[in-house]
Amino acid sequence: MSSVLKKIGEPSYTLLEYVVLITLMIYVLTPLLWLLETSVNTDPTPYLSIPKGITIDHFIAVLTNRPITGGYAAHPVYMTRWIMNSLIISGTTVIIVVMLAALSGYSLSRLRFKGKNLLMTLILLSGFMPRMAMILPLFKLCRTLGFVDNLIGIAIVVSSGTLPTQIWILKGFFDQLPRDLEEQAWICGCDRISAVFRVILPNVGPGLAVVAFMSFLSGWGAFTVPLILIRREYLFPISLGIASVFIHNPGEIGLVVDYGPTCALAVLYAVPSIALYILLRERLMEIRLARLEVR
Amino acid sequence: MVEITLENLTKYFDSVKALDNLNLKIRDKELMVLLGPSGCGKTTTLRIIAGLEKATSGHVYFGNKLMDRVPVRERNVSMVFQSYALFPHMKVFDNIAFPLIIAKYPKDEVKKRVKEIAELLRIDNLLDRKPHQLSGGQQQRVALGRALIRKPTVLLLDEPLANLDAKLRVEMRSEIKRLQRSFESTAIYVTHDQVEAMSIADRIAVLNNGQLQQVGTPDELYHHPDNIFVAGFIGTPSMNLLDCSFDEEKSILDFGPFTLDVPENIKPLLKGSSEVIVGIRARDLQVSKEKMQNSIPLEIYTVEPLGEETIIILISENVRIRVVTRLEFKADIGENVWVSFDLNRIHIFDKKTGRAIL
Amino acid sequence: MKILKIKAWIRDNLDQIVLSLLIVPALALIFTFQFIPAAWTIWFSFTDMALIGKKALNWSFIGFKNYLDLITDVYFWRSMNVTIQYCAVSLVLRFTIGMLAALFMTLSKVKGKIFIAAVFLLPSAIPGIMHPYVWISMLEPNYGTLNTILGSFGLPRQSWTYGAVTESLIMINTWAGYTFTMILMASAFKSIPREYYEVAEVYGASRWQKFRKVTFPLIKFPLILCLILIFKEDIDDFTYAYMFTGESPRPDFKTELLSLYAYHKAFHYYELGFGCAVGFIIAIIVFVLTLLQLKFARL
Ligand SMILES: Nc1ncnc2c1ncn2[C@@H]1O[C@H](COP(=O)(O)OP(=O)(O)OP(=O)(O)O)[C@@H](O)[C@H]1O
Ligand SMILES: [Mg+2]
Repeated sequence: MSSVLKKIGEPSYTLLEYVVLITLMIYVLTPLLWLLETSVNTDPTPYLSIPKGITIDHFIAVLTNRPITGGYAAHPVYMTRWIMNSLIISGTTVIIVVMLAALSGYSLSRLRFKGKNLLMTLILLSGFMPRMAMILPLFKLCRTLGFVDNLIGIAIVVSSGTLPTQIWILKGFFDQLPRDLEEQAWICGCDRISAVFRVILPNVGPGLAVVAFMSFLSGWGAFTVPLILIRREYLFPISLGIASVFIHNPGEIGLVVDYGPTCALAVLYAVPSIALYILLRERLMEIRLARLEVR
Repeated sequence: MVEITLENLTKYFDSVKALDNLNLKIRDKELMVLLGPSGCGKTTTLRIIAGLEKATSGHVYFGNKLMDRVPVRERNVSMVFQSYALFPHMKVFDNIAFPLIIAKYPKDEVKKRVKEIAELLRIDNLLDRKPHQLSGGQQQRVALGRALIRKPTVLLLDEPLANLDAKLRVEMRSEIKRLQRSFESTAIYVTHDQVEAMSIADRIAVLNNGQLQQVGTPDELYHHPDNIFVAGFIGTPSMNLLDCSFDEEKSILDFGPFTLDVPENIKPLLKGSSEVIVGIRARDLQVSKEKMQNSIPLEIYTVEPLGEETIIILISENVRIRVVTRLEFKADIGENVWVSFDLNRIHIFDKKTGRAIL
Repeated sequence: MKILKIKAWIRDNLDQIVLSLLIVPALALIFTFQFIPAAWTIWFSFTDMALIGKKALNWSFIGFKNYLDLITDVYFWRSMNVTIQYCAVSLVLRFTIGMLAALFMTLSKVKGKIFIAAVFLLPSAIPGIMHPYVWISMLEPNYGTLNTILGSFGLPRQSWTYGAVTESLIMINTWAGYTFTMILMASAFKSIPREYYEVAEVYGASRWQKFRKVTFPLIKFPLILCLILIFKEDIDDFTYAYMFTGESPRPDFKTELLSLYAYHKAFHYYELGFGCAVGFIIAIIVFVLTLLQLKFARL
């Protein structure tokens, strides 16, 4: 009887699920149609239209640094260089964030002291001041430190912004890892640090993957920080490069230089994130968040 | 290779008292078994010896050396955890080799020793697997291999054989004992299994509620339990412990439904006590269908044939007595039989303190 | 004598010292690039510093004047009003859609999970700078996709970039901003041991009961963290508002989020100190609400 009811009940749920799913997908995908269409349209426009002809010229233009013509001013274009810059920034960000979040997450997970919850809360809230309000101080600080026009410097600043969340995520993983693994490592003769590297870190792979992915995204998508700190166009990350190809004030559409290559670049831009996500999917799918400790 | 001294060890977990003023000496090269019910503090004791846990008060010495502040890794202790704690990301080979790799042994030596120990533990065909591909018993042997490979000064084994089948357990037990002897390690071995304890131990320490009950050779514990707890805990089936009162005037032990005459030689020991507990092992009782000397009538409650012998539970009012008989003795539930006490083999305990009087 | 004692102490506590040192680099980084600029900003908010002109160099400490000005500033309160609407609706939508996407990627029985995941990831995979252009192609009143669709169904076209601009902002922000929730919650769902559901099924729990009794308690904490981070981002980020506004506030103020107002004050009207004061107010709001949420999460 109940199995019959279940059979009747399930399909309607599934149907509902598909309706919701498809609605969401329409919402997600419709705006992107234009991006895709424009990147292959022989005659790109700022609006969705049926392409007169299909071409991959825009992609070739991007990958061969062909200067973008027409419009207001011919901006110098360093597409491949920008892609490299973005890779440098996000790669460095990943390295810094994974290392520091792993060490401090482990430390926070194992240390016991009064005020630990307070420290955890402060870390989480460290980005509480709006970025915008910090532009001037941040610029002055970075100029003193020589971080202007410095890709590694950018990565360091970007890392400081994403670290707090990542520390929380990794601490959760360390909290869940059975203590006896590292205890056994000590018994076998490891000291604190070598136990971390030989036994702890290899067993929080999914955590490290989550943190690596999220910090990659924050490096890859970094905009405000390079906007403040980078003056030379050949040092732009792609996000900024695209912005410089479009003439500013996006509200005024007519001023846009060349939609074709720009949309092509945007499509290319999406590839690494998606690829990385699919690559890490299985490991990403296992997240544990730190919680404040109730004692 | 070292004598271990536990001095006034007390351990609190917040408000839970896990160990209560434990004093224990484990002799050089001895295999000491820690025996006691679940939650009595066995694991806690091992963890304090290994340095994984700090005692709330009290000290641990290896020889004359105070160990309280020596880091875990410098103690040259090996430990098999109750949970095995195998490293999930390493193959069996690397798990076993781990202590040697950390100590930077040459590769060939590592290979040779892992192979030796794996053969001994019958896991040489599993070296390429990961721990999650092993059965519980196989995992346990890997953990044992990792503990034994390094010839430790002190060997701590927390129920190392709990997950093996009966046959393998007997074999492994003797291998452990043999290796421990040849390494000349001082070993502490935790188990629930009395038979195992009896067969492997040089001496046994019985713990209950964090308190040491008695230390002694298996024989001493079996024949001369210091208190009711040890008496009831050691031996299968466990000892009959019967409430009774001592009547000094009539010189009898009154069990309620029946009484026993007290022999002259015991009388002075009982002087002054009135409420006592009499203990007698099931094997020290004799049943018969006829009345014998010094015997009492009881009714058969259940009969459990065990192969070579039979356990019979007898009752009379609220007194229950377990008896072991030969298989030939046939009797039915409800039947009345006679049981005779060998008065030279009874134990008497003070009911209030639980301590042995006799 | 004293040195010996210190040495002994270090030796006895070496392990704990090493352990504590591990956290130092991260704290140093966060302190340098988050706390110091923040403190600096707070200090600016008590001055009459300007971005250019005489006051850029010859500024002076003016105490709480900026804050008093701010309380009596009608535009500040209008901006606050817009911000509250924007943040509240955004929070609900970003969270709900992120949750739904996460469910489709994990617990739901629909097929093709990798494809679904890749699609849902797209908005945050394209460059943020393209979001405005992508959405202008959608919302433009005459040629935009949305009005074309509405028109083809015979429905009235909307003024997405003008009259309904706050709604548009929320629509874009939600579109671009559910990913974090999705990743976090998908993983949280996935890390619930299957056995829990099997046990629940054995006891005949309904779908709702399973969610209420098994799933929810286990995901409560990541859920709260998502809410905190979404809120922090919404109140902080004004990229989309900026794209419908430009360098000076719109007369109708419909896009003037607090953060954008602070930006306009600081960089358009050059009243840097005042802008910083607005920034600090935002910080306080975030701070208080986060603490409240953490308190709630521990219940
Ligand atoms: N980390 C801990 N926190 C709180 N209480 C603990 C902790 N570890 C042990 N205890 C308590 O201390 C007591 C002794 O525990 P222990 O693990 O030593 O028992 P055990 O004798 O090893 O039991 P078993 O045979 O079940 O393994 C128990 O009451 C246990 O609940
Ligand atoms: Mg135990």
